[in-house]
Amino acid sequence: MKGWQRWLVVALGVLLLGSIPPVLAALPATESDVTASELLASVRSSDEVAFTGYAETVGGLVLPVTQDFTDLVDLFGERSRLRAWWAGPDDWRVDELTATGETGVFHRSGASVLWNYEDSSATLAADPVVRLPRAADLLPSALGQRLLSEAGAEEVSRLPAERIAGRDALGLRLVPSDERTTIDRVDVWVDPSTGVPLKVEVYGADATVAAVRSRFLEFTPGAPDPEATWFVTPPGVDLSFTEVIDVAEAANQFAPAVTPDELAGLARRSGLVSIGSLGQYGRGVTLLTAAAVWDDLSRPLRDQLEGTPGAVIDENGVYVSAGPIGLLLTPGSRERSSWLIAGTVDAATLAAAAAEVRQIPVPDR
Amino acid sequence: MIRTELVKTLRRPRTWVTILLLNALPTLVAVLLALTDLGPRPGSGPAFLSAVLADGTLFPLAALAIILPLFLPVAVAVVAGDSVAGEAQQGTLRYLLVRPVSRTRLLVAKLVAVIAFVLLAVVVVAAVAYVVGSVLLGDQALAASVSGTVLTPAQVAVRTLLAIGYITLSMLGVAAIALLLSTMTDSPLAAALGALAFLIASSLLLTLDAAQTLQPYLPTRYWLAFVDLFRDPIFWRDIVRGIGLQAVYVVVFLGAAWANFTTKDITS
Amino acid sequence: MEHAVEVEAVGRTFPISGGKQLQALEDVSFVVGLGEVVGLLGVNGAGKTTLTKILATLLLPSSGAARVMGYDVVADTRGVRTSMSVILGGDRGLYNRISGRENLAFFGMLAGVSRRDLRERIPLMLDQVNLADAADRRVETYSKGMRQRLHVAIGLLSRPQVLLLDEPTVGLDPLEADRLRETIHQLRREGTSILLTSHLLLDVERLADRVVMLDQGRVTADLPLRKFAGLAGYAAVVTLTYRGALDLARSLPAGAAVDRHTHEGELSTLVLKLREWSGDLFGALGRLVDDVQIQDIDVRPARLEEAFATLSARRP
Repeated sequence: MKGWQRWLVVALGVLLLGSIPPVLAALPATESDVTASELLASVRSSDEVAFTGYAETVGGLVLPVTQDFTDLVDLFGERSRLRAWWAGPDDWRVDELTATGETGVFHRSGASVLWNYEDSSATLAADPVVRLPRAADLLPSALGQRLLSEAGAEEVSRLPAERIAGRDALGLRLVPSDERTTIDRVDVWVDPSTGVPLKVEVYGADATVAAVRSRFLEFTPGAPDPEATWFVTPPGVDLSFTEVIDVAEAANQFAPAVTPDELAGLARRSGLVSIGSLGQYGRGVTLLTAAAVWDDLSRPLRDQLEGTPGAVIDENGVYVSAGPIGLLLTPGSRERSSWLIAGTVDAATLAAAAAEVRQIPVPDR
Repeated sequence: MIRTELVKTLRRPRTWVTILLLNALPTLVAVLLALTDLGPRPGSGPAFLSAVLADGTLFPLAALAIILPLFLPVAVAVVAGDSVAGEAQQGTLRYLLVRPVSRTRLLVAKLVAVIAFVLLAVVVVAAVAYVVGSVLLGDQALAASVSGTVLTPAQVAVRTLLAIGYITLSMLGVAAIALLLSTMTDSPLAAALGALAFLIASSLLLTLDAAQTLQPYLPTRYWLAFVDLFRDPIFWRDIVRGIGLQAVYVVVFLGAAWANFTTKDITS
Repeated sequence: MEHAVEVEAVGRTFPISGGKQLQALEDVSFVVGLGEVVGLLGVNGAGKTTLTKILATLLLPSSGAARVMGYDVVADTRGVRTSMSVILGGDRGLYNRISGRENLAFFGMLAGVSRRDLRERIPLMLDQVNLADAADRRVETYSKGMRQRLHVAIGLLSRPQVLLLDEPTVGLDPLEADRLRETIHQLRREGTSILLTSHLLLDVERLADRVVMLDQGRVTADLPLRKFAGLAGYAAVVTLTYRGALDLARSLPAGAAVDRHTHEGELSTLVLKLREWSGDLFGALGRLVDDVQIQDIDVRPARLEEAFATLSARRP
């Protein structure tokens, strides 16, 4: 063989090997004539479907928040790798993989064990009424089901099918009809046999890059090994108990003021205990959360927000947006608590909400 | 041919000096950990380093995680970079090539010898770390997996062996690159540095979001996947991809080395 | 097959800077018969090393073809390498960190010598090249001559049918060089075909049956040794520095000619050219200088360009 022939062989080999991934990715997906509302119905009834899977999520949001919210920053600003064993809504485990460790949530019957390998800690907590989003919420199945849960049939349309995790997933697009929302659209691809969302993309208004993107790379329907979701405290680790798992729950439990039943024209979401100091309002993907917060939490947050590029400061407080998410913190002082309002609603709605909550009397310390 | 290359590798003092040096840092880390009892902050140190404070038998893994990002690939690049260029520099290459042994076989034998060196180095590091870890840091009957489940000593042993195998295979890509460069230059140093430059570029691109489309093809992409062996159940996805990727690197770069070397003029 | 080595119209070019090509060999043809010893003579840069490397399968010819024991050096490298041993000049190319015996065993294994044959032949070879005492020392402790003898031992271990020797005596002291010539002589008696390249006339005169002259990449002569010797001017150059007076006209031995005779104060320098390298002539020279006080004496074999000023005249 001549020299150039050898190089030709090598070049062909490189070309062949390099073309395997694109060719696999370009395999056409089988389409189906299921209507959008049928697909929506199958997603809504899919929360009991058992599966095992591996998903990756990418958040494109840079949240201008402080230390108490670092998990949230990672969640929406970084790439997360999630392994899930899902036997049902009351029996599941989701592990977030990191390069050198893992944090896991083992959930069973109203309580969760939070495992952190690098801290060598295991914490048992009852499911709180409210809490901050966590990695498990970004699993395509959970995220898709949640975002589509309150969608109306007139808000959804079909998208072309795609191959996701080796399965033919049918596309569904949600365009929220509420004018106040900052969410432009939510694209979901659904496993036709189980109705489980396999890929979810959330786009803010005028955005070309998804604010949140989550997709399964491996998905196997069927009950996971029962042992996989069962936590046994490993040797050398003490299982601790906690009443409060994050600042959202803390705000709900210890906040100085009670929220109203309606805010900026949005109704309080049902299912929450009405005496909670943290209020959640809205429907579908048009959501608003408000809570009164003490000065020790609001002061560093205010400094952070005021230093964020694009922050708007007026008589209602400081307003910052990150993609489709808006944050507003009303003025406060050492003696007087302030209100934190956040949600997927436009600036005008947030301002209206701020004006309303500022009328609510808050106790002086 | 392969046998003679292996014998040559084992008889070189450099092989053993390198392995000794590879052991130095993990041993120092073990001593410091034993003295101070200070683990790294979560997410900052090498994998498994915080866990060894509780269980010294996991120290082989921590030791491998310590040498994996830099020391081991440097050693591999030096050894593989030397394999052909070193013979050329020494003047022995032409004497090897006038023997009735095909140049392709010589290349394969060189790569096998490099990988044998890696395996030897990794096994020695793991064994030394096991002894050091058990003596200095103590041991425990049962260990926690990364996922928070319980691993028996037998499971830990099996998975440690798998990790040793995986790390050895992970070095194939570097070895093949250095071997290709080694056939292109008469300077072992240039070949080793070239391979290292490739690795540093790969590590840098891994941290860059803009390079996302390239990342699945980078040789260092799946190196840390040996940690996945200690998740429960074992997370095979990246390990399988890592092995496949290394195989691709061997095919491509050993192929290029073959195309370059088999008809090359030997002037030195 | 009647020839051990056949070289047919071989050419070789090397790219040099500026996109130009250097013509190292051009249309070179000659043969080495079975059992024949051919000396390939040429000054440095004449193309000897390039030709040797092409025959050794280290370089590819740009044109033409060459065969060793009937095997093509491009298409059938394995056959070439199996039937031939190559001993390139110089003392590099050994593994310095291991012993001479281990070097022999290693290269023998590569040459495909069985383990049993190795056990048997290695002590014999070590004896033959007079390295038995040093066999278990690391090669880095060897002198230049010892290393070159080890190369010879390695080359002969596989009992090749053809031997390619490139400048075998370069850098050796006269005693070592003579010992090496004796070894080659013995091989010739055993019937090994040998192609020997050298720029020293002496090597060729002592060892070759036939001489091929190479100049600027071309064959300029292909003669039997006897005819070649007739062409040769002289074989050795003797440089003598002395005090006193010499009567050259009366006592200069036959076969010696004065090249230069200069005086500087009390010291005189005499350069003599000797027609042949023989004991008789050296003896006669010794008697010539009996009466003077010798300051320094230097005897060296004539270089090719000195012996063949005419053949090399085309050189700038």
